[in-house]
Amino acid sequence: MPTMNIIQAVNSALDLALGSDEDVFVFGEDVGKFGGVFRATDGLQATHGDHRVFDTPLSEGGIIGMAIGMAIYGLKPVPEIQFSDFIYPAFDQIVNEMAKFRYRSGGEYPCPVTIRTPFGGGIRGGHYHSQSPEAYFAHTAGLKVVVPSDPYTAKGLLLASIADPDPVIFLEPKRVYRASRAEVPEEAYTLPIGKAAIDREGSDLTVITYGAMLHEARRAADLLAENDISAEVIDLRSLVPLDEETILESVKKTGRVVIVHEAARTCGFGGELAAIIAEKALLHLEAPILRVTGYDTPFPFTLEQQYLPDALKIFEACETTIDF
Amino acid sequence: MKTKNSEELASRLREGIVRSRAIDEALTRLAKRGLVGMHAPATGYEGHIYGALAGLSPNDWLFGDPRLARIGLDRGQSLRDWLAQMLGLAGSSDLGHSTPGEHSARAGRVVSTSSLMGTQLGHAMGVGHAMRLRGEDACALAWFGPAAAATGDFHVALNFAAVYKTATVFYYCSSGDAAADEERIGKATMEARGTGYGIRVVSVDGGDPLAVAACVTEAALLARSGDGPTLIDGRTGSDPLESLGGDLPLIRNNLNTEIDTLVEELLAEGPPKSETLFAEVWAEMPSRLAEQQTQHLSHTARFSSGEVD
Repeated sequence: MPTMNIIQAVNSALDLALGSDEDVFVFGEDVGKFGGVFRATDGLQATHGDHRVFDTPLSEGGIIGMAIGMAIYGLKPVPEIQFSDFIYPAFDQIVNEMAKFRYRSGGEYPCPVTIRTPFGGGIRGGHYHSQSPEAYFAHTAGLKVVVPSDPYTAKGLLLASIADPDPVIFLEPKRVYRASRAEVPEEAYTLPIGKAAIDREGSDLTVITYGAMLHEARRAADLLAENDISAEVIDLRSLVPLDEETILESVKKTGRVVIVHEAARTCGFGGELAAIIAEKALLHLEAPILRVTGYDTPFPFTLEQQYLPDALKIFEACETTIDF
Repeated sequence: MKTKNSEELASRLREGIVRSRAIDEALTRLAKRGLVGMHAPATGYEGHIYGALAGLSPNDWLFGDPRLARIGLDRGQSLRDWLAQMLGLAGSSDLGHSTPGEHSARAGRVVSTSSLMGTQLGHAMGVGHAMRLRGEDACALAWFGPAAAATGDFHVALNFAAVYKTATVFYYCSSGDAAADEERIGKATMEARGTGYGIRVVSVDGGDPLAVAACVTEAALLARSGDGPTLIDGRTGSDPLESLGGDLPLIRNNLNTEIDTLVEELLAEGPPKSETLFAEVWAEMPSRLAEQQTQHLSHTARFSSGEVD
């Protein structure tokens, strides 16, 4: 089995989808001839032709508007938004159109678009190349929000997203695009959307996270283990639909919870997770639910490492909940 | 020279416009009764609507706005279903989800729209692109007015359509009030705008539905054959019904009566079931939404009287 990084896994998934389903089309800014600014679509145009993999004008609203038209017609468009920070010009098309097409037509017009977009900080990208917009989309009925954390989940979840009958926001953790490497099957496979993974079993507390933060949570769990604290780490993989069962089973086992995400704290997805746990597992809790998140500031340039959650911040929060 | 075919077309257009006016009359009555929250009359614009429909083939896709909602009736949608949608009542194919006038008729390739002006232009561009990718002998037509022409979606759709030579016909309907239109889009003409994108532009008088039909026939032919999009500059002014011979009171009155009878039947059936509130959000209902549905049905069952016991 070959070893891939996330970029290679995404490329492999797109290559397989294009090769097996003539309804799949890949497009976006610089995705064709150039192969994408992160090289995720490298070589795909040469392999599948410039009608299947093509460049678009620089207009996110146009890219998604076109994708919606193609999807309601019956195709399976996979547009790329070059950075998730650039997705807001398409926000109206995503929230008011793509997400609502099935509902407002009583199911007559499903809209199976898969929007791939790199998200998150840690690459010295500043305000406009570092944001984590998942909560906006998780708040919108009709969308699915999928977040891989490594090459294996990137390939399996992307193929599942493309096959899905509903629109998917597929958020790729660009900070670990190349740093995360793993064995990935060459052939096509899917992972279920809406199923979380216990990334690491533990008994003293539960750390819930997704995307690039999984890797910080793993490092925090190592530090905790050195201090005789056993942390269970959950990789959500999908925010909508959400695997409540896996979360609640773990919380009922450990009684202590730390939630980690890069996005700002207020109204971040962690707030929803905390509410679900409070509603359904309150009497199992031994300590308040804590969140380790980005701060309620715009994403900073110079001090991004101070802004971002890391293993030590997670470690400290875990200590606090253990000591409560 | 009048031919048998042109006389038949004129007769068909005349009847279509008369039926549309009956629908406007009925919707106004329903609005006064508080049964339709929103509706946009098409009176005066019918030349753009029925002339264009006559110039298209059944495989062509249609994108409108609330004023155009009635086009489903010309693409096989039943009057009963259409009224159920307008009234948001049980049995409507959109399950009561859509705002009146924004619904779809998939079998007739009529696409649902939103209240956000101009957004449908990008979808028509996308469908037109998909048709070319698939090699289908069809096109997409989108009607729009001065409000949509002021949006970024207008620019984006025309720019993309020009870049990809999509099989799309953009049909602009002026409001008939030049001063009002100027407040929205300034003095720039559609000809200047379309030319700026490198798109073919043709003007047509909406008061002459036969001319509209001929204009759309040509634009659709070019779109289907891969010659790219056309922007039609449809002027609104003179009464399109007058150019075709005027009212047909018997047809108009009969349709009004038919609508009134159907409305009473539909009202007797009541609103859609509560479960439909939760249907068709996603293809498969996630457990989280199923839980909310259960809570809602339990609550409504307990408080069905509207009071605390």
